[in-house]
Amino acid sequence: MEFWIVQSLNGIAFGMLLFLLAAGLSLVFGLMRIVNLTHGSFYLLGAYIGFTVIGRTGSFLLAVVVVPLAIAALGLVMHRFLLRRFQGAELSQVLLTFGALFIFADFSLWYWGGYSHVLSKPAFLAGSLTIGTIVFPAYRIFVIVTGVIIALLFWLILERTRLGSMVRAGVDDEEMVRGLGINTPRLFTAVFALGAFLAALSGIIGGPLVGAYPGADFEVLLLALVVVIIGGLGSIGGAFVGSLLVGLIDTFGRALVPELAMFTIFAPMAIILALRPRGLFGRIG
Amino acid sequence: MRRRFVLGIGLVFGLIVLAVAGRLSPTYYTGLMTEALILGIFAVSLNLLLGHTGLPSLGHSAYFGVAGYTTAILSLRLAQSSWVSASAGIVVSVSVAAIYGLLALRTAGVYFMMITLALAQVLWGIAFGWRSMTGGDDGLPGIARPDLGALVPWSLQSPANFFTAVLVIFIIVMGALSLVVHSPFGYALRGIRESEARMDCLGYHVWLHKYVAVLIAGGVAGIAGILFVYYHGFVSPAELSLVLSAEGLLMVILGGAGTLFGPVLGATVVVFLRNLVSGYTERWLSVLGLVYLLVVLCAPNGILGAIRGRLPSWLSQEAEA
Amino acid sequence: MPKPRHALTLSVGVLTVLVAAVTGGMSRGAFAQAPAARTPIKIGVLSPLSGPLAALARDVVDGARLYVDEVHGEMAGRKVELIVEDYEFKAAVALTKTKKLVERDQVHVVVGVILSAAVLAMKEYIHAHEVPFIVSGAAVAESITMEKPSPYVFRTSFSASQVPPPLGKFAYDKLKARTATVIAGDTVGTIELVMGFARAFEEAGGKVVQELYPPIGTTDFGPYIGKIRRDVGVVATLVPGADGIRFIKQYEEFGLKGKITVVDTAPGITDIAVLPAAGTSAVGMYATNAYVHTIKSPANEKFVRAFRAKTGRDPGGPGEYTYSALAAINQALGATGGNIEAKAKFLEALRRMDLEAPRGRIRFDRYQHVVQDVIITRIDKVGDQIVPVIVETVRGVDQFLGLSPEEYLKRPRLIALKGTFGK
Repeated sequence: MEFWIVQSLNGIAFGMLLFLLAAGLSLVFGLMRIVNLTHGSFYLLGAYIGFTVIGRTGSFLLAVVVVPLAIAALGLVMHRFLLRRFQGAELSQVLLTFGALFIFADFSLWYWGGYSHVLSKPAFLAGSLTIGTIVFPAYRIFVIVTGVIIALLFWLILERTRLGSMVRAGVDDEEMVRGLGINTPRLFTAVFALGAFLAALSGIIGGPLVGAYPGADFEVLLLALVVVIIGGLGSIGGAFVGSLLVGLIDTFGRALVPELAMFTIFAPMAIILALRPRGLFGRIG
Repeated sequence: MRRRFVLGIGLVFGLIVLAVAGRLSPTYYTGLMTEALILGIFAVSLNLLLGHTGLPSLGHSAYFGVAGYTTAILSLRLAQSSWVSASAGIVVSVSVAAIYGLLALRTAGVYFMMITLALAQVLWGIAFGWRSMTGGDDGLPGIARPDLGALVPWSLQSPANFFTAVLVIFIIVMGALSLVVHSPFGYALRGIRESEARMDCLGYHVWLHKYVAVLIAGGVAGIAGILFVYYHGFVSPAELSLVLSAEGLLMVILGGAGTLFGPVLGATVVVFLRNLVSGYTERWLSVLGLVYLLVVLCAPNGILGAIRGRLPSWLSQEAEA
Repeated sequence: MPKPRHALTLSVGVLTVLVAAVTGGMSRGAFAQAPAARTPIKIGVLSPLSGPLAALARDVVDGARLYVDEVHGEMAGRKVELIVEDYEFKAAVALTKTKKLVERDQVHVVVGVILSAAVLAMKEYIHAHEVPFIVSGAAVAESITMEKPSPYVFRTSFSASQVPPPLGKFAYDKLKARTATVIAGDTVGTIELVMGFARAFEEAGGKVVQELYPPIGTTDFGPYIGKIRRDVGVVATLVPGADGIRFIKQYEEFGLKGKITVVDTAPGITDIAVLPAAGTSAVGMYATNAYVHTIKSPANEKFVRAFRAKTGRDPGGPGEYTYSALAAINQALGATGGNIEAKAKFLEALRRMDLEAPRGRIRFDRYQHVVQDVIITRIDKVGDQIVPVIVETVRGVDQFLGLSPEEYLKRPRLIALKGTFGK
């Protein structure tokens, strides 16, 4: 029994971590259809800069507030001056963001020397909760809660606000929305910056679990893509369910059939896509 | 007519220059050219899917690697002749394409990208984990190049001879692919790329066309994989990795998706840049990244696409579209 | 919109660069043919500078550079030139770069390399081209210097059959552990290392009751930590890089730190590039190693001071192994009057290496693998630093653990032991 409780909690925590990592991508790629391969780079820069900020000031809170804003500014510049004119040109986006990924990776390698770091947690989340014989890290509970909050905020903003309907409409029919007098390029730039903000935020909040190291950009990008695709493009709810599913399958897969640990993410993904070619909640069209 | 003639002359001349340069260069550069040709074949096969049919595969290393592993395992563990091992490599890569095609073609667009990625990752996992057969991440070293024996009195051990052999295979593959691309089948593929619904209405069996394209691309990628294994003398999970698939994609886009020679140009640029620049600066990764950025900004249709845009109109007329 | 004119300029530019590079290389190649007695000694340094283990990779380069500085750029009266190449942690690239070093730069010796797959991929080429090659990074596969040994391949770092076994005995004798769980990243090298520990631990009288193999890149170790049997005496690990940091942090979070001792069967979590990030979570671990910067000897203290002055950080294993590799080359050159072109004599002298390296006395066995002391450390907090404190030194350990090579090779290879314990 204890095994099942602990591993379920693990699975949920990992799932929520995946959702945090993927949230920005589900906006930018899922909703806006911009192939943004620098999503992982935003994560990595966020985590590395967060590490430096926490190291200098000792304040986790400061890092949570300041670093995502800085990366959002970077995202804003990238979209405004590079990506904007390639809206809809997916192959150009691939090459462009891949080039940027190389440059960001190389910068991180040069500035942080290729060292691996795991961010330190705020003191009040550093311990573990003990219930009976079960010991569970407090920080994982925090990640679960944060994941749920961000999912709720997402849902509220996209479904219940004017901004949300503008974005959704802008993706569905850009010309129409522009005809209504809405500045879609500026709107898209803002959403892209928000995506970068979320990626960097996941770098700080996920940093104590995942860490910052050379190659993390690629790994995070891959995990985020998996979650967004399994959920179905354009569906935030799909990304949420997809994250939970991947988290649970991966955790129980590794615990129950460790010989297959190498396959616990990609084999289920291939099966899901073969059965549901547009992901779990993908919109038709 | 004039256009064909000029292009034909240019092509023959170019190949002669390439052959002479390859054979006369210092061995290291011959090696780099060999690698560029091999990866060029790989990129061209991917281009059949990405550029011509509109199927963005992110798991193309599956066919490259599985052919390489088959050849390596047969020649190392079962001591088969290189003819047997190499043919088996192609057969296996086409078979894998046959299975993967069935699964992957249920999806389209980015979903196709991700399901091909996932399927390739499964093969990567097998190569990594099945150590008694594949050597795991240490890979399989010590694969000898084919002995042409009585056929041609040439030893493939010499870099120049191996280069020539790769060049011959490259020419054959390009010739065959050029025929495919300019056949009614090839036109149908590009029709599918532009609008599946229209081709469907016109009575084309869209799925079958895509499936055959996947089989051909898988087989050609397999040829590249076998050449790669013979060139380096070993195979490792890197040859099945996502990184290789992504690099293939970049080569195609860099050179020009949907053109015949663009991907070869892309492969050449990537191979030479990464090997030459890294000798001069530790920051070669940034240089490569900047080149990608510049190409997108200055030549959104790839390098070859841009060159074509500058040629006189009678010469530049789209060959394939 | 972008202008096609720029595109053409760019394309022509790229092609010009390529052509220039090729022709430039040609002429350079042609000049280098001319043999001159006092031409510089060229040493190729291969290191995966842009790979996931970039921090270790820099040690390889800095160790080499430091040695060249110390001899003022000269060995046996000839200038020394280092040519550094990055191979991205990919075996195929390592082979291509080796060809570049040998064929274009015409180096006399190659040193470095982290990643056994890269060494194994290079071995045949190195052998065929008769280039002396000293493996001086972390490439631990037994087979490199055991199966089909090449007279050109040396290793000054360590092997999986050499460094972990003393820890197995130590865990039984000194830590009084009777049962053990082994956890290793699921790669050949890391499995070989924990198997080296496992075999020695069982030979000492202990029992390995559980084997766990999380794939490299595992983010969440929860499933594995949840499975560790709570009644084992010791948890023996080899989890490299960022994975290692995550493992030891999560091990603490799940409340196991201090309850079951964790030992590192080679520098994984306790590697100097990783240890500061692992921080206090790693305190209390035991580790085995061929080199740590806390060795107390005048030679090592001088080395650490110089390394720190040059790079601002403490040297890790690959730094010392590469430094020693260059010292070995220098010694062999001294014995042959600097005539590295007389390859047979040079190799013979290299085989007879006998050095007081920073880590202590090192020699080669007849398979050209280094014979050295193995150091067991405990990770302690001293001031605000997390450091390895030496608790035991086992003198003169060779890769066959004192057996004759023939006897040792009769036993199963380490990698074949995976899955045979805990049944």
